[in-house]
Order: sequence, then structure tokens, then C-alpha cells
Amino acid sequence: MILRQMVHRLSWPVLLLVLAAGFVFVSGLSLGLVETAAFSWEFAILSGIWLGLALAGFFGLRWLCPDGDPLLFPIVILLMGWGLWLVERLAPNFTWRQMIWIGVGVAAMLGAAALPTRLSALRLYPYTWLLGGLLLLAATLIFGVNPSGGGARLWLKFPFLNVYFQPSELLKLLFLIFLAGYFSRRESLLGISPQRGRLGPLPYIAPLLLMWGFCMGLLVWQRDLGAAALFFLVFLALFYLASGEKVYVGIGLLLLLVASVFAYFAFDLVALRIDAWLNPWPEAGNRAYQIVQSLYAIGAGGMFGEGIGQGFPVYIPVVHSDFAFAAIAEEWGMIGSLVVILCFAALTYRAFRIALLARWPFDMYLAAGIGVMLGMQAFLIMGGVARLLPLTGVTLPFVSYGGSSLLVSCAMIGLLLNLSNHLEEGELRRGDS
Amino acid sequence: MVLNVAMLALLGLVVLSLVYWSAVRVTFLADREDNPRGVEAELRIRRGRILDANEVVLAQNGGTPERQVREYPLPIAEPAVGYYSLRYGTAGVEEALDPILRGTTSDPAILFAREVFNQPASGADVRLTLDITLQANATRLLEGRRAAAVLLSIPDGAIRAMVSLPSFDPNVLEETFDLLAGDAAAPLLNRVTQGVYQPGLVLQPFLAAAALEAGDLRPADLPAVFDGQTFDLVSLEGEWTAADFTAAVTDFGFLSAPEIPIPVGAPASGTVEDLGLALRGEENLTVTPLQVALAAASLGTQGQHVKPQLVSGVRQDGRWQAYRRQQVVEAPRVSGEAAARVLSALPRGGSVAEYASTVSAGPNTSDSWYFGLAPASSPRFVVVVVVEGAASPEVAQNTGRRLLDIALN
Repeated sequence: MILRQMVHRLSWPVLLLVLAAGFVFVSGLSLGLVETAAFSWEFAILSGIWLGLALAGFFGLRWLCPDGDPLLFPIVILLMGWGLWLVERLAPNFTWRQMIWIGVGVAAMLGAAALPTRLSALRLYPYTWLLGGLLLLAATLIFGVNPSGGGARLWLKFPFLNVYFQPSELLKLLFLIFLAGYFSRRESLLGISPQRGRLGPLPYIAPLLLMWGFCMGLLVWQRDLGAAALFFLVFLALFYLASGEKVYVGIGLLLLLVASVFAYFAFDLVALRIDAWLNPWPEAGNRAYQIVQSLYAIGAGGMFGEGIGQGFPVYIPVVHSDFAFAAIAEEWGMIGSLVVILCFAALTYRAFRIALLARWPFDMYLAAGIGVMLGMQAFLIMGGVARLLPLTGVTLPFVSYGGSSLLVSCAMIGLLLNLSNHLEEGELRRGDS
Repeated sequence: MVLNVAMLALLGLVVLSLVYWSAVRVTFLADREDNPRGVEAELRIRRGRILDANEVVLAQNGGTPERQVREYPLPIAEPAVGYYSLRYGTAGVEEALDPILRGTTSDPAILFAREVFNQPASGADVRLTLDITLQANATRLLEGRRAAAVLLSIPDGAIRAMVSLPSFDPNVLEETFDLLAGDAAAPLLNRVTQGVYQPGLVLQPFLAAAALEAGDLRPADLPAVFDGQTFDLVSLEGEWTAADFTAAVTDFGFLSAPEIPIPVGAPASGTVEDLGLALRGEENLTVTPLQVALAAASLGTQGQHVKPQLVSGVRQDGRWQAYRRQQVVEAPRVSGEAAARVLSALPRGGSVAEYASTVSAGPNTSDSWYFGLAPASSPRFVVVVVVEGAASPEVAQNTGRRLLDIALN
């Protein structure tokens, strides 16, 4: 009875936060017990810092955007806590690095949430932001390094600090800001308007081809389908939102297919990943090793999982970044994977809800874009890990190891919270699109 | 909102593919040989110990919880204990009692604990009938030879020593396996249960017992039969047919595999082409030392069957449980009277009723046989020793006598 009253009095967000804290504490305690067979101060301290960040974020957001979406933060802080233990489990050298990035991420989230209403700085200069992003890319092309030595040089090193940043992650955010600004201005051109008949298919085809060219450039530069496909799919989604034209979306998907075929024949890495996706078994020992080991991990997890620290996900190469989801599937089983998928479904759903209730077009496109970006990224990597799609080198937002991705994803959530702070009261801005 | 539904549908596809891999194809994935989880699970199994009759440890697990290592503190027990190796499989008791040692179970409570709490499988301890002192003595006495020795107590058939030389150290099996497998002296072979030898004249006491029972041999002639150990039963050649011979060796179990958990050689077929040679044990019939020991044992038990026993107990829930398969009561091998007469007619070495002979084993080489029962008046132990490439049965005889002496005291 008392418990029921207590639960009744607690608001949903608080309850979710308490649940998240319970999960993170129990996971940390279990992992500490498995790894050291005793109570471990390191785990207690990490849990404490996480709790501090969770409380700071929670109350900070209550103060900054009291009417903001209450579900986003508990979900994101849960995923980040989960990711922290995964990094400790799979690549313990990086744990404190990840902890610091979570702190920076929460700060970025609060910062984005604190931006003035209507985001004029972002809204009014879409081309400037895009240009900034492209300049960063250009800088990476020239000065780029890879912290692990070999491989694609996609990082920029901060001077005097042992800190690396991946500009292509920041580009995701700048790209979304650009698209939101672009579509909110071009809405009249693309939607039902008198100009439509006069200009014919040109307003549709031109941006489509331009964006396709941009993504092809990205593909050639990164030699990876993941980021290019992600950018193009986000663009297509917003394009559809603006125009409602299914035909052009279909054309866009065809263009993506063409790009994939091109990449298959042009780049070894892409060919390897597509071959391994189509039939991994003959090459299980070498070229398809990673995906096959990932499937073994998923199979071993079963319904309830092996328990944290008790499976063998470390057989998957670079499990802590690309294959975090396979590790979750092995150690937390179907149940854990479902929770992660539900978290991303909820994030996407809330982002679309914010888009629907937004007062201004820019807000709507930005919110929807963030929803598609996070949901699509999660889909690409989770699908890749489960051999639903070819593997792509994108991270699982909030969970995978990697500071740039964490920081940018957090900033996106901060923007969503900012947008959600001043929605139309219960009334949908657009009925169907 | 179309986009929203599309995104949720894509995430739903991820759920479906996870269900596919973790429920539909789970056996396929788990059973693939390159899945490292099979080896990892195997490395964690807490295998039960193997103990001798006095609970001296013959095999135990060491290493770390993540990487268990099988250790053999007394490698001389190898012919009975065998080996356990991730790469080369199992042999001996390690093979025969593998499910017990590794803790294979269908108990839902244990399976649940293993599945949910990730407990490694842990097996039960196994106690053999082996006496490591006798085993050590037999090994020492036959050192450097190609030989087999088995000593068992009667009437229970408990195998107290089982020696097959040359032997090997199962602790370093993985490093030496290729050498062992290619060695012409066949160290991996258990000569007691799998060694294939022509019996030669060692067959004679059993044929004599069968002939006595059938009335084809007069009891009065019996002492002369074994006199000087060179006499043979050619006199039976006129009276016995091949079928009589086959019936006699069948009765004494030479055409069937002894019922013992560890692998035994395939029994000979029992076809006879030249009865004269067959009666001298130099024809198609081949026997293992264990078969001879069991046949000799029944001379000391009034012709009753003696069932070999190698494992005496399995420790379950901290208590020893008898390990014994269902016993089938079989007709005696030979009448009590015939058995007793042959036993009393066997040559004496002190208080041992014994028989020794050599049999040609190819050009310029011969194997020597010895079996003995002690004490002769009412035998409690039987021993069989085979020494390959020995012109005289002296070594086999001395070894056998010494072992009986140790066993009796």
C-alpha cells in the first residue's frame, strides 16, 4: 500500500531514472565481482560518477527546459551507463576515457538544451554550418590521423592533448542543422504550391543528385558504406517529409543501390563486408571471421544471456566499438537486446512526436532529422551485427566506445530537449506527413 | 506518420533477426567447430578425480578456473587410467567413464544452475580397483621390456594391477603424441586388454579341463600332462574335432570380449583349419592377457565365471556408490571337479599354482606366458604376465611370483 502510494507519487521520469540507476549499479557490482572476485572501489567510484552525472543532468534539464521531453534523458543516461560497463568489460584500458566523454556528453547536452529558443544561430545560417562541416572534412583529409596507427585516417588530434576527434561525427550534426534550415526554406517549393507546375521535377531532382554526389564523395573518402548511406537515408527521409513524394524517394533508394554496387567493385573493404554478409560460412576463418564470431555471440546469449563478464564476446575483433551490440546479445541475451532496441525505438518515437508538435518548420525538420539519424544509425549497426545488413562502420549511439560519437549524439538529444520545451499544446502541426 | 512506422519496422526487423540467430539457428551455431565457446566450456569443466582402491590420486584437475589442466601424479597408472586431452580425446577410464567424470547430467536443477548461473560442469570422483603399490612393482619388474601384466583378486575379479609396457606419461601427451603414435613398440596400446597374442601351450590347462569334463582325458593322466611343461595334448587329436576345440575355448571365454569399461580387443573368430596346431595354441586363435587371466581365475573358483572389475565406486553427493553393472548369472565355464583337478595338477612354485610357456611369435622371436594362482590351496589372486621377445619364461615367471607374493602379504 505504502509502496503503491510511493510509486504513484513518483513521476515517470524519476521512476525510469531509478530503474536505470538500479540496472547500472547491479551491472557494475556484478562485473566487479566477476572480474575481481571482491568488492571493487573502481566500480563503486565509476558508479558514483555516473550517478552524479545522472542527477546533474536530470535536475539541470528540469531547470533549463522544464517542459522538455521527460523520457529522453533517462533513456540516454541508461544507455551510456550500460556502454560504460561494456567498455570496462571489453576494453578496460578505455574505461576512464569513456567516463570522461560521458561527462563531456552530459555537459554538451545541457549546453544544447540551454541554447536560446528558436535556435536562431543554427536556423539562420544553414549554409555557413554546412561549409564549416565541409572545411572540417577537408582539414581531416589533410591532417587526419588514426589513433590506432593504421587504417582510415578519420581523426583530428587536438594539439598538446592525447585526445582525438572524428569530424565526420560532428558533420552529422552540422548536416542535420543544414538540412533543417534548407527544407524549412524550400518547403513551399517542394510542397503543394503554385510554383510546382512551372518548375517541373527540377526542384526534386537537383537536390537529390547534389546530395547523392556529396554522399558519393563521402563514400570515396571513407571507403565505407555506413556513413554515406546514413547521410543519404536521413536526407531522403527529410526530403520525403518536405515533399511527400514517394517516387523521388524510390529514385533515391535506387541511387543508393547504384552507389553500393559501385563501392562493391571499387573498394576492398566494402566488397569484403558484402561478401561476408551474403555467405559468411566458407570464409568463417578469415574474411568473414568478425561477423561469424558475432553470430556465435548472439547464439550463445539465447534468451537470458550468459551474464555480464561471463560470455566470450572478446573473440569478436574490435568488439568494443562496432560490435557492442553483439556483446550485449551474448551477455544480456534477447532480453537485454530487446531493451536496447526499445530504447532506440522510444528515442525515435519521441523525436518524431516532438517533430509533429513543433511550432516552426525548422524545429520539425531538426527533430525528425535527429530521430532518423539516431534510429537509422542504431538500425545499421544492430542489423549489421545480426547479419540483417552488410556490416557498416557506424557506432551504436551512446553505447559503443568512442568520444566523438557520444558527444555529438548527446548534443542531438540536447537539441531535442530544447525543441521539446516549447511545443504546441497537444495539437499536431501536420496531420499526416 | 509514415516515417515513424518505417523506423519502428526497421528496428522490428533487427528483433526478428536476433530471434532467428538466438532461437532458430542456435544449435547450428553452437555446434560449429570454429565456435570457440565449445573449447572454452570444455576448459572450465571440473573433471572428477580418479583414485586407486586406497584413494591414492591417479588423476586430478589443476590449473586455473578458466583453464583447467588434467594432471596425473602417478603416470604409471596410465594403462588403466588412460588420458584426457583437448586435442587427442580420451582413452582408458578417462574415456569409459567420461560422462561421470565430466558431470554429464539430465538433472533439471543442476542444468538450470549451470545455464543460469554459468556454473562450470563438475564431475564425480571415480575409484578404481587398482592398487598403486602392485602397479608400481609390476612396472618396475618389467621395466624396459615390451610386456603386459594383470593381477586380479578372485572371486570378485577386481583388477589390482594392469601394466602395459612401454607406457607413456599422459601429463605430456600433447607434446609427445605424434612420436607415440608412430612408435613401433605401440606405447599407446593397452597390451592387457588389446594386445593380441598367440596363446601357445598356455591354452593347455583349459583344454585339459574341458577334456576332463567331456571324458576325453582320464584324471589319472593329468599330472603327466603338465609334467615338465612341454607335453602337449596331441593325444586329443584323434578324439576331438574342430568343434570340440571351439566349444572348449568358447567355454573359457577366449572368443568373447571381457566385460570391462575400457576398450578391449576384438575377440578372435574361432575358426580352425589345422586342429593339431590349434591344440598347441599356434593357429588362428589369439587371446589377450586379460582373457587368460579370467580363464585362469575360473580354475580357482570351481569353474565359476569371474567378472572383471576395474571401477569400484563413484562418489556422488560425498558418498561412495558401488559402480557395478547388472550381473548376469552364467553357467560355469567348466565343472567344479574338472577345475579343481586341473588346479591341483598345475605345477607348484612354492604356494603358487602356475603355468609358464613360450610361443613362437615370428622368425627367431617368441613371447613367454606365465599365469599363477595363489595360494594354490584356495586361490585369492591370479596373475598373468606376457613378455614379448623372451626366449624363456623366466622373467614372466619371476615377475608373476613376486606380484602374487606382494599381493598376499
